Amino acid sequence: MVTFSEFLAYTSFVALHKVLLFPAYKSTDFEVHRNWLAITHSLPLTDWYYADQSQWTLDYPPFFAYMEYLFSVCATVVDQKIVDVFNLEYEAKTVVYFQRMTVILSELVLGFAAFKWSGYLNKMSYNQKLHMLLLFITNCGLLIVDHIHFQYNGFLFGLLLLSMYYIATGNEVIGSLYFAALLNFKHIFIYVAPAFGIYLLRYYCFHNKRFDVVRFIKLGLAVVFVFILSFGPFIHHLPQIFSRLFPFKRGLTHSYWAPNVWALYNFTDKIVSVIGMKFSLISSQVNSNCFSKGLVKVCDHLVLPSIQPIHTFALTFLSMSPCLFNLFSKPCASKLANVNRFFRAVQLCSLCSFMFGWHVHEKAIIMTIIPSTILAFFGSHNDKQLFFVLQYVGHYSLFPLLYEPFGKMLRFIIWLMYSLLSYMIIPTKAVADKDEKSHLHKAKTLLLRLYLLMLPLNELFFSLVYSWTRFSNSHPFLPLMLTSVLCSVGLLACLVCSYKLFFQEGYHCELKTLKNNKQL
Amino acid sequence: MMKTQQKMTYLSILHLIYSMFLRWAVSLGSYSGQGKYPMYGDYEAQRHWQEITVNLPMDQWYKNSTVNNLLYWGLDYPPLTAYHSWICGQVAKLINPEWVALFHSRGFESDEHKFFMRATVFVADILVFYTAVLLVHTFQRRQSKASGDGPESPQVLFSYSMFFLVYPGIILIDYGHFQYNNVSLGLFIMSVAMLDRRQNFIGTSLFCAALNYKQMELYHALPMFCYFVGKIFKLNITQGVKTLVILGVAVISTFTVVWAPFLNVESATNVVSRVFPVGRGLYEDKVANIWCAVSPFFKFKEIFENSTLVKMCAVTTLLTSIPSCLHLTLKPTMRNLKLTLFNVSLCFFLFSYHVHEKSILIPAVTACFLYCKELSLPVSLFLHFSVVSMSPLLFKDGLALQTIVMCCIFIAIVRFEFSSTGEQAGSFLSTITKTKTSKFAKKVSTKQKLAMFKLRKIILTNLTRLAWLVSFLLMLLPLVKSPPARFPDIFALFTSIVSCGVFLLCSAIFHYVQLCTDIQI
Repeated sequence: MVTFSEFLAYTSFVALHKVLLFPAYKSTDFEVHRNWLAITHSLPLTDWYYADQSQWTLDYPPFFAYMEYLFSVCATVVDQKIVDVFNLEYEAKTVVYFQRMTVILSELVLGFAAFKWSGYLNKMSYNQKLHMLLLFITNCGLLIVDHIHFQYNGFLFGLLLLSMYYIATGNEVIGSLYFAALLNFKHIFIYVAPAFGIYLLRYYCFHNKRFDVVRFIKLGLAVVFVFILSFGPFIHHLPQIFSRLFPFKRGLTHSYWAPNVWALYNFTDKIVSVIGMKFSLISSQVNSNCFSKGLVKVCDHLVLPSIQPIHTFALTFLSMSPCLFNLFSKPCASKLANVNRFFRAVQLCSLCSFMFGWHVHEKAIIMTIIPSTILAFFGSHNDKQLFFVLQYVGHYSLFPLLYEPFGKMLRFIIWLMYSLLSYMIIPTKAVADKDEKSHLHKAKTLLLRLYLLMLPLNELFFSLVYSWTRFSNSHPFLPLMLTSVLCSVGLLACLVCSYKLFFQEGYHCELKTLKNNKQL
Repeated sequence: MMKTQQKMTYLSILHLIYSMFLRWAVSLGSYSGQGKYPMYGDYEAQRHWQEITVNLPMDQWYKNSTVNNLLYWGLDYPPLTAYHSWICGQVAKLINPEWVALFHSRGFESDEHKFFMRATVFVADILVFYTAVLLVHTFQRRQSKASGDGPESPQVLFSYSMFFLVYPGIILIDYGHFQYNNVSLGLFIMSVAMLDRRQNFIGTSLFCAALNYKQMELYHALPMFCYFVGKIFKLNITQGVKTLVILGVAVISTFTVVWAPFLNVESATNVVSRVFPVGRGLYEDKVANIWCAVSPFFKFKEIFENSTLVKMCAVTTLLTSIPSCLHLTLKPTMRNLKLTLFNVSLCFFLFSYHVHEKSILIPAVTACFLYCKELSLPVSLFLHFSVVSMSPLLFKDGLALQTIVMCCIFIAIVRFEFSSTGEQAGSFLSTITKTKTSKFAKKVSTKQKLAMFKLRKIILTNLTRLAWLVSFLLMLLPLVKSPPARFPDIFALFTSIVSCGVFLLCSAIFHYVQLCTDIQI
């Protein structure tokens, strides 16, 4: 058992390193959050979602705004100028230290959730528990996105983990309270909501093979209660809030293509159009490919058919449905297996929406990596390997967030460190599989190793060599494009592998049930 | 067994990358003299040397002239530093000629340039310092295999070399303040590692190279000399002469190679007069040595002439160095060499003339060699206070956050990787008292002895905790309160006095360890 004092010791030790990153580069998100501090503190509640003094308007749900209000009260103690609505781009040491400190403090929720999880199953050794705690609190993606780039994800993932923990340990109502609260902090978590919904409906509301209305109402009340708390004060302004929360003016992909299916789609379009122009199959008059210009706006594809939001939604839903359907229709006999399948469903839902979603940010991959960390410890040997590859590729795909020289150095070092740490959980003596010696297996391992080697080589080439070549001026987007394409191939493979593991577990379950039935 | 070996390898690599993370995280901070027109600081000095060495012919490097104003950060380190600057300067020229343009580049500052400069430190670190630490590490690992220690020994062994890599002093000065101490100190570590392997020729040349990078390595020259004198006298005549010839060839050849371009009378005197400036004061800023610490009570600077002071310093330094040096000459073992290196360099720091705050790094790096289970308490205390003693300097560079955080991290690592303060105190006490108790063993009963030991352990543990607390108070005080107008340096002086006290205590402890105990290191 990892004791609470040990947990505190390790968390504060890791937090010290985050303090060391205070002077690091910060993105415009820093100003976004500073502006929100100002809005929530200086304006009346009803104006929060109308304020447009800055271009960074409030576009998170109300709970997050309440949290910013809470922070802003503390901010006034530190420095009055932080909460001035018109004091745009304020970057004094006070505000930097204050805001970075709030990120570290709010991340304690994640640490606490990790601490809870380390006590989930007793079969793990002390070292494993410690290892899991460390993997959560030193998460490479959060270091890059929260502590350098600047956002509050650590806290949100803490809530997600807590909600999963309570659901896994049989406190479904508390778990759904946490999840509803999470949705009201950041609505992007709606991507994993299907897994939560289906699991709660099938394994909580259905009791003793029939639908338990009381349980259903309990659950519903909990969720509605949280939503009323959150949106209640804004009851007359809901349309305005929703227009802020769900903007549809943006394009299919972000300025840097998040490594998903659409990155591959854009890439194919680009290649085909380049070839087409070379052999003058298509006229070069067409507005040359705006996807590869790094702009955030709606673009049309040159050769391939253009994608509409509805297509991406349909595809996302389609890709999720097999796992959701299976989770609903074929329950296992053991509770532990069901919970494991629930974790897998969360992992799959987030991964599917990342791969097929509309205007996905590269940061969203952390939403897959965090639940996979749990599976890496409670799943099989394959889950550990999947987690390793997933975090390796996923965190690598976050690299373009930090583009100045110090950031480049830090991202590489942090990534290496975390990859090594997560590699160490994979047992050195692999499970003796039957197909271990087959040629197919050997080829797969070789391919995987080659692929894993390609990522650091890609990084070294583009940060050390590329700027000296003459391509660097004419093709500035090339490094980003290749990084994104390279990562999307890996993540697509992870999606397939994750699906395979999901159905494998279901299959094992069925076999077990059959055996039990025979014995009876 | 195989499995633990593999795991240890992963852990070692993880530690290596972790230490690189610390370095780059600190390097995000400001450097000495950032934006401080017209003189800037050590960062500008290093950049200026690149400018000079790239643009001027060699014989002009150390010479005052219309193109090389020595009053503006003239080169004052031996030739190896100049060569290093030349290499960095060539790379800088390749990337952006503006960085090293003669005259026009003075005070050049930009984010890219800052990154470039930090990267040169990192490259030097990897090539010299990390290599040196790996040499130490592999030697210790091989030795433990030969002696067949328990399965947990690799971890303990690794911890020793970790001390070199996470010691905040070097990281803060090189990556924060900005200097290349890692090169000279790395060469020194390498030379000791080579002497450990009985590679006297390579060891000596490496030490000469360290000397030729920074003259401050002279702090270590006396013990090296005594070690070899002792060694040679232990051997028979033919063997002795052979060793003497080998060492002589090593020293002379290294010096010739390094000084080759300056081997005419005029250039050589130029270099020497630059490298050893006489006529600077007893100390410049507040430094944690004896002369500065007693200054509030006894003003040496005002009472004595400068030349008298130089003599006084020389005499006291030599007198305090004699006990350990004599011991080493009589018993020239590696254990005694390491202890003497520490004791003598600390005496030099405490008593010699014109000492910089940064010179504490020299005994500090030597202290890393002395880490063992029994001595972990004094070693970590000394290393911590060596950083504290530099804190006024670091705070001036705007590195207060980094300094305090790195100190916390260091203490935490000592606790996590090694043991708690209580355990440290226990193992320290039991070894210190071992030799004593044999004399009194008959007089005191075991029960009483045990009670005494417990009491002492509690006192020592709490004293150490008090020391940690005081050190942090000393660092936080200048951040919270501004000093009274009459004594602007009062906090720095406090820090120096307290640190000097701790250093004196450490000096006493390690002299005692060397002369009166047989702790193996």
